[in-house]
Amino acid sequence: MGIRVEKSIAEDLLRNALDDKSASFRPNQWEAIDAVVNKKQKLLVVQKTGWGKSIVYFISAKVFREGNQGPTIVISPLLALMRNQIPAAERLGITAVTINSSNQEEWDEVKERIAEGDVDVLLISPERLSNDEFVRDVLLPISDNLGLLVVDEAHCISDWGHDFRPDYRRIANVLKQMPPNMPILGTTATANNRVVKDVVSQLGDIEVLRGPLIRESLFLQNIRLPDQAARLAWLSEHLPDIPGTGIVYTLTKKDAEQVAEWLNLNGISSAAYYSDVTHAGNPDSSSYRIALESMLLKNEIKVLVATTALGMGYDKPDLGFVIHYQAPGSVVAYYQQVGRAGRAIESARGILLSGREDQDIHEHFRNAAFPGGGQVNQILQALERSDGLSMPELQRRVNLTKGQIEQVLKLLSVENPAPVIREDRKWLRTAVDFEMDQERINFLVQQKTREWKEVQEYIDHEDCLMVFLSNSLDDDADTPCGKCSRCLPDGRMPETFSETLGVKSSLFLRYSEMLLIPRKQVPKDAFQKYGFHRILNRHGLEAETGRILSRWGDAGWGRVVMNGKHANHFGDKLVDAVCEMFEERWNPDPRPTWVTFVPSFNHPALVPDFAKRVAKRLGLSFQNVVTKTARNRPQKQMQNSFYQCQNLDGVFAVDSDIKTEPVLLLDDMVDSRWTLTVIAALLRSAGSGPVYPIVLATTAIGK
Amino acid sequence: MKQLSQDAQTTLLLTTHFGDKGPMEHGPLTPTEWGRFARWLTEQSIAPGELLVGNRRELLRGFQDNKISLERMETLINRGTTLALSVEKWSRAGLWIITRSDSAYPEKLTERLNHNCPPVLFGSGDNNLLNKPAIAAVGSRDVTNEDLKFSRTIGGKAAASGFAIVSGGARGVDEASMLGALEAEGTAIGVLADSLLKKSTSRIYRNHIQRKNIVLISPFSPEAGFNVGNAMARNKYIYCLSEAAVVVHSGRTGGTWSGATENLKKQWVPLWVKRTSDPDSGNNDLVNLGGSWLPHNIVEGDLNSLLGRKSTSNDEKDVKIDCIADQSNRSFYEIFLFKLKSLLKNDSMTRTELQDVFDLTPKQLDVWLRKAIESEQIIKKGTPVSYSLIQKAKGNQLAMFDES
Ligand SMILES: [Zn+2]
Repeated sequence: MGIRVEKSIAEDLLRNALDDKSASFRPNQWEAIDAVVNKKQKLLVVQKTGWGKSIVYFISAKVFREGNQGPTIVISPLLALMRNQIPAAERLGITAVTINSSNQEEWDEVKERIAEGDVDVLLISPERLSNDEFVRDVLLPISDNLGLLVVDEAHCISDWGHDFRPDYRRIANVLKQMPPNMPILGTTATANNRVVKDVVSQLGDIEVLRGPLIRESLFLQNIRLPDQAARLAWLSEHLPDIPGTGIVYTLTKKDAEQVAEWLNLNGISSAAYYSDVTHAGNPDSSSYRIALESMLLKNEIKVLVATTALGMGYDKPDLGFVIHYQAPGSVVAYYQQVGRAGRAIESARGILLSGREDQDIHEHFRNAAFPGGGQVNQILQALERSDGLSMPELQRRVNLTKGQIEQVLKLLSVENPAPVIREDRKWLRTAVDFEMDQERINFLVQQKTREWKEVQEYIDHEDCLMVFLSNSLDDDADTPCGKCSRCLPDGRMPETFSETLGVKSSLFLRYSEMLLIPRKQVPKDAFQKYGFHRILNRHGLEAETGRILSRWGDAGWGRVVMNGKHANHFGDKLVDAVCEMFEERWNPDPRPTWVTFVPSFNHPALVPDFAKRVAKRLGLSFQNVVTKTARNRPQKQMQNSFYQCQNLDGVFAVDSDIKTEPVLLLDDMVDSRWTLTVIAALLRSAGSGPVYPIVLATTAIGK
Repeated sequence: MKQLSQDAQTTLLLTTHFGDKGPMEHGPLTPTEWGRFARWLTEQSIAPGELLVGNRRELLRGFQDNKISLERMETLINRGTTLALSVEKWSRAGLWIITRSDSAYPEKLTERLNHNCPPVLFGSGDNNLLNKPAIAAVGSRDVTNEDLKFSRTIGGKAAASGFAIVSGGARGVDEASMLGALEAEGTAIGVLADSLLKKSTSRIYRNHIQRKNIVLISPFSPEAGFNVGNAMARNKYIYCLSEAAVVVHSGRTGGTWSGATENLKKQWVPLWVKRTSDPDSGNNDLVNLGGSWLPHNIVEGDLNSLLGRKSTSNDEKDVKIDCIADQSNRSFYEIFLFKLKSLLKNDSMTRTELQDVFDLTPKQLDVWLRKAIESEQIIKKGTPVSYSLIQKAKGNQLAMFDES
């Protein structure tokens, strides 16, 4: 109590930070500092990216520290933001450190520095706050005397925000319990009135400072190109003409990979960026992502092809373009992404390409956003019968994937009160009665459907595109921008591309086979009948790396495979495709001399017929050596490794007298890879040479 | 989630140990210190919550206390983020928080402890149970199977007589008596010294909490680990939430002992002690200090008979009958003397009070009282006349009627 700062002093600090003797505060910056430092207020600041929120909390943190208060905590979802801000803080004489999943090796040292009082600002990611162990070990030891708590991207607190994030539900619940003598600063660049109102009503007693959100340097344009091949061709033809570097947003990780690969093939330097992207040269995903973010910041690549994992708070002043390869789920999300471009440059392009598949992908997202009641009940019942279960223990008790279990636990555990809580690495069932809030879930799903309709309206909007975006953000601007494709048709990028590039991109999609990485370890006790050793490759029972021709139902071969499966016959085009891939792009060594297949009760002739034709075309011998000896439940009903393996135990048998040379193992579809792993292990046990699996399509989600 | 009121926030900030922070330079106020401070606030007509919004220096002008410096209060009150993180977690786990000024706060505690009652109670389950008539069951963690079985029986018995069981929620006697009550479709109150959060999620209590059959409370942080001081400190709340207490087994030191002797000293509720053949137990000593032997046939009777001030005549009759059965060679005077001495163990009594209890003719009473004075068993003094025990004689005479 009693800490105060005068505007002139704060302005001196600003000048030091910017190293500019004549600098002065931008509109609302001083008001924000005054509110949190002098009035100890809770404040929500709605300002466009680049307004300078970090100056506000760094100066406030500095003042609090000089008044002997503890550190300021900044909760922000962006890793790069954290890294970039540390030097800016240093100019103010502020020690800022970050604790996030990418710097675990530094945690102990950072914790020690925090404990010794060396740290003025601690930057953490939102999921840290929902990790009870982190709260106990890092936050609680310093939380007795915090200066300020900053919550970045505060619109995520609202259900009306386009961006539902469970971690922010937890943050909101903590903020609700914050007594009135603790100042809070929430910041966002994308919040319309409804979102602001909702945040205010949830947190109570919070002031709002709002500035204009519209970026004047943006040239907006929308182009409908239903085929992926067309969009790839468009990108490779026109990206080189757009000045500067930028971002291409895709909806899925595999699209990010595919687009980046295509652009690189066409001489446009690019890289894929998504939540768990990895790269051989980097120890883990987060450090690779930081490297990617910084490559774009330094203009070392032309394009980062990213999912929405990149976006929140990404602050590159000279971002030249933001292009959407597929349409985003909401107009506000679109503005948040496109609004990153052109902050400190004269002009930047915001181009929304939209395709045929967008609709299906968003529908999939909507359906997958919330777990079904059955999943929730399975998990709650397992926990009810226990005094707490670890993750592996839970996996053995419920037939759900690890991802599904994690999703359910996350959603349940951010409620307050919550039916589950994590203590000492175990999940406990609390004494809280629980019923799924179906109404809220329905509301959120309908909300997403409405938002998707609004995106369609935006794409086909006849008048100024900027005015449309501005209205959806409740920003005041209603005069046409004069530069979007509707206001100024002459300033548009062409919507066409050369035919040659179109043919090339179609072929590229057809040649986009993937590696099939076999399993090397089996879950404990899952194969009681086969008695496999847990580590297959230690006993020479593992399959070799194989190939997957396509993604089920996809452009490229995916649709051909889907049609073949439905017609119960895979045509010769697919035989050609497999053989061409095998001969021209794969050429495994040692070369297989014979072909066998995965048998099926439901389609007894489909795969062997296909395998026979492939063997003939490749001049290899066809051998029917694998038999299915028992009926089991459909493998796709088995949700996690343990159940998937148990469901295969003792189901296949391999003839005892088989060829000892390398073999091609064919199947039509792959998801969990366990069937191929088991048959390969049986073939190896029976004395075959190396086993090379080939499948026509993967149905695995997210790959 | 319910937001805490500003008054409650201030109370927690000033009095709660959040998590295991180790020793603090400016530790939270003790219940007594808070009691003093709260009284001062009331006198000044200041609501605790005002300290969070108003000018504290101004509001606290004139408050002086050797133990409670303004600096200490300032440090405590600045723990806002700690409070928010902790309260969010506790409320997420389904726990509730009540403070002395809340209507849900059990009256029995305020009545019996006055400003020494805990400023904050954390709990899980139906807080209405706290106001139910209850029998306290206390005893060591490590007891014989027979004692465990007995604890279960007492629990069931309490349920049948319309009482809740209140206990410390530890292993042994505590757990057995509570489960005995719950199995008999009764109710239970567990007053915990540690790990409220964990216990509320344990399989044995979770369902009962959801069905509103049990309430677990603690005056300490729900995540506090075991600590002897806390365990001792919470004993008083067990007694104060009950109408009568049954000691199943006590050592001559330790938690059960210190709780039971504190209750005898403060005379919160009648203390009944189970007979035991364990020579190391402190049960006998507790009776010597003023507890009463639990009647043998209590498992057939009604626990309502345990209520009332110390030993009720009803139960003394039981004792007397026991004595007569066991010691049929005793004279009526000796039986009179035994009862007289057990009545005078803690307090002196007037002639009228004795007349009420003994229901003898005034003449007969006078004859026997005189005989007792002459044999230096009791003395008579003061105006109005009262009778009290001669201390040195106590041991021998009582031993005569003891079973052991
Ligand atoms: Zn326009």
